[in-house]
Amino acid sequence: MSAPGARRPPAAAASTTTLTRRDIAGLVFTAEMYGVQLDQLATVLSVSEQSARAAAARWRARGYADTARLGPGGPWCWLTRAGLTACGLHYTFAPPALSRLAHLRAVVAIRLALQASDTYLTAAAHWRSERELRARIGKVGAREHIPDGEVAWPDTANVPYAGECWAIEAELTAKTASRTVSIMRELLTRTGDYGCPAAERLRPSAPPLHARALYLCSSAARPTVLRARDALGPALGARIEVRGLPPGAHLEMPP
Amino acid sequence: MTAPQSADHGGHRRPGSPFSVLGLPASAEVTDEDVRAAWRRTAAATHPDRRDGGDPLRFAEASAAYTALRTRFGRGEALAELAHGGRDSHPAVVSPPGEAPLARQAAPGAPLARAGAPADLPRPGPWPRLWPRPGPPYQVAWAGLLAGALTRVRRGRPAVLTVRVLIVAAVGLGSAALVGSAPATPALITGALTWLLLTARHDLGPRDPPY
Amino acid sequence: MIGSYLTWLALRAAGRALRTAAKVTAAAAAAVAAAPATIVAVYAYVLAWLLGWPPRRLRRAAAWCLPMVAVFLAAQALRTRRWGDTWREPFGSWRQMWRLAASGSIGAGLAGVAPVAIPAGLLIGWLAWSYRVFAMETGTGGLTASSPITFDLRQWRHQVRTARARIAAPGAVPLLGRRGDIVAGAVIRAVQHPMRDVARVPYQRLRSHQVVIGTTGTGKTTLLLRLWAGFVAAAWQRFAAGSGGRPLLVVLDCKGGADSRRVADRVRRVLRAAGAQATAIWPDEASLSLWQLPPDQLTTTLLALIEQGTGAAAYYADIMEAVVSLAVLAPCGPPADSAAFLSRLDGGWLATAHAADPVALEAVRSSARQIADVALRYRALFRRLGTGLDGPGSFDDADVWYCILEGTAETAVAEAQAMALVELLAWHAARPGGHARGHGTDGTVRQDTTSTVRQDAEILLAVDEFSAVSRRVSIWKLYERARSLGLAVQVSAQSWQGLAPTEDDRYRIAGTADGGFWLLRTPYPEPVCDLAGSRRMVDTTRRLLGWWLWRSDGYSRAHYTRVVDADIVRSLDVGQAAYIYRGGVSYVQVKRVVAGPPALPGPAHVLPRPPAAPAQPGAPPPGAPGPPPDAGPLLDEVFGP
Repeated sequence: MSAPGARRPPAAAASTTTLTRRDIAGLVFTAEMYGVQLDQLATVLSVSEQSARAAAARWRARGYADTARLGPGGPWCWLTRAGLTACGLHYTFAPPALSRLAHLRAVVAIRLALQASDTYLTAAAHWRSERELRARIGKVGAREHIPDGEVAWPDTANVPYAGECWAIEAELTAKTASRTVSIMRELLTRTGDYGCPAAERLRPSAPPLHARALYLCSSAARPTVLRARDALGPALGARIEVRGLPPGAHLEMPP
Repeated sequence: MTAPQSADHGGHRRPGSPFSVLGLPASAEVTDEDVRAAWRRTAAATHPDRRDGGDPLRFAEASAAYTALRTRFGRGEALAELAHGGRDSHPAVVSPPGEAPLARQAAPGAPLARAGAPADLPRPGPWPRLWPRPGPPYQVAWAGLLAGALTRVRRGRPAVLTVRVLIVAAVGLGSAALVGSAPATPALITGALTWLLLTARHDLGPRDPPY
Repeated sequence: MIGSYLTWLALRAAGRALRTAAKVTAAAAAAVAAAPATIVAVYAYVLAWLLGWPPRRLRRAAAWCLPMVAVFLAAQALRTRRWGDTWREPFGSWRQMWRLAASGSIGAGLAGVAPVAIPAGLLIGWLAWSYRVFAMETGTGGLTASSPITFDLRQWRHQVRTARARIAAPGAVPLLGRRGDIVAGAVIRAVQHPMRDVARVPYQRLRSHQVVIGTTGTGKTTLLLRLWAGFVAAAWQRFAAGSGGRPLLVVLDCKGGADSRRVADRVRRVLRAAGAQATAIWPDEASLSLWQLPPDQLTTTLLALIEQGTGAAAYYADIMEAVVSLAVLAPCGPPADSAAFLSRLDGGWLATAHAADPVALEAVRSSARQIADVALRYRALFRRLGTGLDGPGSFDDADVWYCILEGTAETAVAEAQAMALVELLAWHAARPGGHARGHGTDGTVRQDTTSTVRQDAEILLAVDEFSAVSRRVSIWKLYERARSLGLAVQVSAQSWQGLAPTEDDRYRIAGTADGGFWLLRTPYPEPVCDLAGSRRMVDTTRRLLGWWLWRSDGYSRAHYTRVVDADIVRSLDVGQAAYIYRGGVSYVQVKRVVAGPPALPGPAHVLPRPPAAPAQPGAPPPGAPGPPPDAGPLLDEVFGP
């Protein structure tokens, strides 16, 4: 493991390693989520943690990924510029920010929990990450609030909410209720997709982009989120779902 | 969903155009909604989150295709690439046998030199070239040129152009009728064609789709 | 004796009449003899008059007939196998024409000689039209003394009609020419400029300073949009080819209001099509950070934002400068935003921050009583400025920045914003090296400092309705140092007076506008017309003969007159502009740049707000979706109840 930004080993050995379909899936997943801790990567790849380390090492050898122990818990893995290019993703390269590690882990846990469910898999729902949404917006529009993720249910899915798009928010710390209310309202009233012209964001006659917003909260943040939902009123509040974070969403703190 | 592929050379898979990857017609009439719907269909079928693991390679190609086509400007770029037979500036990624190569990407920031006179709103920018030439160059070039010319006629003043062409035809037929195969006939046809060449370009629309 | 004199007069008159008749007869005979060419010449002359063509256009048309002539001669030579006698073929064809005409085949005769008659006729027409134009310009032509004036006015109308027809043709006026020139529109008339069909502005000229003057409703926005689109398109082409830096267009719209938002949307659509990937509308959609300026420059800018006085107020200004310097240049570093700056405007904070510096500490003590006043002034300023300058954001974040300043509603605020934006841009242009742009993982936009690619920018600053902020924004200072910064400035105002508060400053701006002047209709164009310089003209006086006839003899004299006719400028129509450059002027019919469908729904000028909350707490707002289907089972299964 090395510190972020340290020189990577030469790519001369990369040509001898082989990437499997599982590797590709893991690379794309890691790119979309900014970075993944190795234990969660093991879940993504459906392998043991040791195999996940080996996979990360293979990616590192190819120059597609970097790994480092950034904070509490296990090492983190994220894609390099070459890795993003290889995956065909137009994201700007940046290693995971230390201030966001807990949040990133939580969002990855939420995604893994959803995609582990039979309903999700059977319906072939798919996840749109915050990084992808931010890339769609581009360089301006920093004032728009972007959810931590989106889940889109295909129209052909055999579920009551087929055709819906859900905004996913992970709340670890308590914000002010008023701020949470305004975010909720923005998520539920937005009509244009991320990256659309400014005036299409809120068109009165158009259907909303997000049918509902799913808030996954820590115990500290839950009261605030519930208060904010109540303050929205019954019409909008009915479209807010509040649940707890799934297991494994918290960063492992040292004893 | 199988993405169309061009000729397979020794195990290297080259993706088709972004339109074909998303199953869309390569046409200027494709709208943002069409692209979005096609992307959702493709993503649902190939996303790695699927129980069967999806198809990460095609998902990555579809993702890149959606990025390229999601705006009208991007679709114009892609159509222009098809019309002019975009050059493949990067060799195929060589992967070990039995393994699908990752989707290829041009190096970001690679400058693109554009030759020829730009139309009313020329295509700019060092955008990475995502798509290599989809087929034998001459076929694409001629088909593209003809399609481009017809598009320019449609977007210009086709009625005026028709009148001009009729005038040229009338001059040619008239001189042939009056003087037969005398030297004046080819000379007058040459003069009429020169006039058509000089004046007809004003009645053609711009090369790019109107924005 | 009287009888002899009368006889002599009669004989003289008869002689003159006979001479005139002989001349006319000879001319008629020549015209008939060269009949096909004469017909073409008359047609060409009438067409040139009708369409207001310059004479050289007929000469050019004759030149384009050369391929036809070459084919004709070659075909003749091939038929007769007599290559040496090719030069005689035109005469042979002419003779053949008369023979065929005599035998009744006039059509065949004309067709046979057409390949040589057409270019000959065009040349004759060119000569005739050239002479006519020369005669009218020098005042020697026409039946009356006012004929040249009438001729010129009529020709102007014809030229305008031709220019409008040219811009209506879809392919005649592209945005960029073959050499990357920006094409503004069709040329109506050119004086001391080469006469071309379209008005081309070389890219490098757009990279120099320009001035645009025109009152409201004269098509100024259309012209500016065209120039901006051309700049963006040409610059991106050059950037793609590796011969230029990345373009950045910054527009300061100093008028504000609903119109500015509408224009901003149009600018975004037009420039997106021209190649600008991202257009930021400030402050509605994007923000900039004044606080990224270096500390010294930040101090100067902050002081400039507050209007200072003279006399006793000057003393107060010194105190303010001292306090602001202490706050910005504190050992812990400059403030990150306005809130941080305001919190530093506190005696206790400043004393603590400068505790290790006795000189600074003394300054804090001396100004302790005024610190609260300074803080109050800045609090009021930042409240009025809003959050647009509090970041995050920098000019690197977009290719085009359209900054809307409420110059009409709040002039003082607009002036302060304009000053700050100009300082920010000057610093941005003067930075030692640019970096690629990107997003951090926390969502803020930051520079990718790991990139080793330097990205120099080619910057165009366009200040529209400069008169709204000209009182305090000394843009001429920026003009003078902009060249070294790689920054071009384009200033537009409604009038000459609107360019700057004093005549001195106006001439300073005009003096550095080496990219040219664009002058649209304005009631007082004289100062700009004077700047364009003068040219030699020939004036002719003719003697009056009788009641209404003028003799053909008189006096001509050369004199100097303005290159730009102020009366023409005053009578320019909407969409017409005079482009003045290096002692010449081209009157241009500007072509509108077509953009995509509007993003703004109808006349809305602000982002539409979500519908207001209903009166009944339980009732859903109109148009809102009903309660969504139950997703409880899935969520309970995955996340628990």
